Amino acid sequence: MANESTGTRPDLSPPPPPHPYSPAGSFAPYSSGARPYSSTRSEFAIPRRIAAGVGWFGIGLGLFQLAAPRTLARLIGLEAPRTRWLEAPRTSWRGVRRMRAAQLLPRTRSRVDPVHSMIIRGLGLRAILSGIGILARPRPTPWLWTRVVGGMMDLSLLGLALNSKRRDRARLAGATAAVAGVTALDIYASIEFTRAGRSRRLPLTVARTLPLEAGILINRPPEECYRFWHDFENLPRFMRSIESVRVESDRRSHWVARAPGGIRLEWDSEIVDDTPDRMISWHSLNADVPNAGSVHFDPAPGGRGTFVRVRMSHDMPTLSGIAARVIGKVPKRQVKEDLRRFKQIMETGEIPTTRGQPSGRRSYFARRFSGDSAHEG
Amino acid sequence: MKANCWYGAHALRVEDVPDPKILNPRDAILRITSTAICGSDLHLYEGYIPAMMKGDILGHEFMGEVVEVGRDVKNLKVGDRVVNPFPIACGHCYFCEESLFSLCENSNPNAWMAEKLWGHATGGFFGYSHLVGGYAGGQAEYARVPFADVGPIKVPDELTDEQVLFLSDVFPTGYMAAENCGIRPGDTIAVWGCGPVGQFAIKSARLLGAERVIAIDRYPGRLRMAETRSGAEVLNYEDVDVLESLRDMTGGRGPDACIDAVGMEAHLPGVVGAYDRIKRTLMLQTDRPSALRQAMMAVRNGGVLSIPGVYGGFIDKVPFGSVMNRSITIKTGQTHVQRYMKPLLERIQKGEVDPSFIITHRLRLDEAAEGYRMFRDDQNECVKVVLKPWEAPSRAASARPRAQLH
Repeated sequence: MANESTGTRPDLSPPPPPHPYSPAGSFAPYSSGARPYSSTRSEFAIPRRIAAGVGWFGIGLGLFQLAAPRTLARLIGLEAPRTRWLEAPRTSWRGVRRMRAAQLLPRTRSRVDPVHSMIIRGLGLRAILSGIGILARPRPTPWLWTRVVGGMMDLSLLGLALNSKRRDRARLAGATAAVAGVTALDIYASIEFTRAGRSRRLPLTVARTLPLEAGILINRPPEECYRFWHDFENLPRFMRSIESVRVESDRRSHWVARAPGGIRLEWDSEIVDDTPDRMISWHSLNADVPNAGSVHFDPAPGGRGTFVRVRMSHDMPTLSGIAARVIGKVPKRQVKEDLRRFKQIMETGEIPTTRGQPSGRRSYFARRFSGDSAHEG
Repeated sequence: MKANCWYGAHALRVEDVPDPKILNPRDAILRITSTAICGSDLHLYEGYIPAMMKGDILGHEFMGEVVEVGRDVKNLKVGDRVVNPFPIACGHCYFCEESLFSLCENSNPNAWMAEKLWGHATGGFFGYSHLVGGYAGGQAEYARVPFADVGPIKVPDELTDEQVLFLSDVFPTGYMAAENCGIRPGDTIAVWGCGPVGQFAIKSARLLGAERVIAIDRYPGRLRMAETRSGAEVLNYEDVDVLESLRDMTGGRGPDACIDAVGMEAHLPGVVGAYDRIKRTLMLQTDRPSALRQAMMAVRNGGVLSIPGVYGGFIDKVPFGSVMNRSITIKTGQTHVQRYMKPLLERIQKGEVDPSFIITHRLRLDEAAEGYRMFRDDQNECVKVVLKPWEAPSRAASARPRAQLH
């Protein structure tokens, strides 16, 4: 019997429609000049590149500051020249203390003040956060300005250090010059982005198109699945990130979504293609995260209901392709879970849940995860 | 309400928790009159099952009275006395329609989690970790039952709780294990483990027409139960070489089917047993499969290996060459309880079987932790513990020592 089922296997995936991302495809997400970024891409290239550069630079230096604050302090000459015992063969701290007690080592304080290394770590953390914001946010302008503020802070601290006693003046001067240079770039990029944002309200960053595909078998006829989906106001019931959908006309609807980080996104969506009981495709108009997609409802072979397939692409407007890819993992998983909930509604009429059920004492994280009505732990 | 909560290995506490509420239209709330500790609960007690969280309410064998129903539950009404199956099943997905209820595609809200560990998810189960849904269990005064129009079945008043309680899990589990053996007249079935599931597997193999049933365990008390209650021949694996004895008893051929009713925490004396314990301790394997290995080697050529015993993750040193070369069929799975409840209830009504024979201890709910300890440590005496959530507290005042409670 195993052979029989393999014999029918090819039927499982009905002839796929032309891939939506292929230029020859029946639907190109942004046809007829709707491509949102083409106009700004060339003229804004330099500030954009600088912004991405300082973003990555901040993350790199910040990681170094977090991981090795003392090494950095020595590198930039924040402390006096080496004293003997640090060059002595490495022993445990207890060993050092013992050797000091035995007058084998000069009695000196630890070379880098722990407060200093804490400050360095804090500055590093700030730089990393700014960097992530710049690279991952659709509009990096405020995050660029945090770099400017941070740069000023760094410079004033370096100024203080130049006046302190234990220091390496040459190294400190070099570090100060470097920071000043980078801060100048920050200021330039910030001003450019602010100006561009104010004057043109144009998307400021490059879009990375993230295609994703997901499918699920639903034990209901295609017509029923199509009908439920086509009433777009139903979609927030199973799409976790969609807050509401308002149908405005036959083809147009208004969408409100919550993006990660508590951002609220709103856009209009237009039906591109609509084959009753089989397929709907759409694309967004005037969206911060332009998106397009299609959903197919194909009869599954052997009376097994409907093979629902969703194809979607989001244009993630970020400066960094890596950030876009990391963020892009989330939508893929979200779509899969959304489809699962769609199936649950279609097959059972409800979405099975344990949220609100009783439990014993939970830890804070367990409470967040399970959503049980537990006593506070 | 009071509920038996899990706080880690060997850390169970009966605590006050909020009462359950109807959360979905197809929910019902049961006031639990009887609930039992299952052998698989011991895997939780020992901390062998992943994805448990502190505060989880245990228990998946329970029955009671309907006290509230959601608006879409049409077949039950307040006051009905029902037994509840441990798997939660929606009744409408592909697997429910195929009667594979424990594989329901919709009832596990944490399916993604199980997909990471097992490739695909099972349905949701009561009180058995977040891998299988994280549903609050039934060792409590009340429980919320999702898809109540599919799971619970009404039971006639003339049958006592103890006669029908085990329809929730162990009786159908033993029965499915025997059914999976495809028993034909003249067959010999060997059963590893004489706990509750083993007892019912032996009983069911008998009901389904097995000529001989050979029960394997190391506790004389449990072997005696299999012998007197179901007419099994018994082997104590601490006294005899099981493989050798089974060959001798079956004219060299081996049992037609073998049932592993032991699962992941098998006990095996000697070097191999120690090896499994060490590997498990070092996290190199999650389960100890010694009964399974033996059953694989013992079954006759072309025979069936039926596994109702619970395994959680990965096992090691499995003699798969024996399985492949000797054309062994393996049948296993979490029990599709909903499939068996009605036919088995009929058998109970006809008097063909009285499942209450496995009960050795009856405790109040707040003695649950003691019940678990006893079930684990006194396996010779203790086969099944039934908890009574609403037992009058006056019994607590009586100064009878624990051992006399049964």
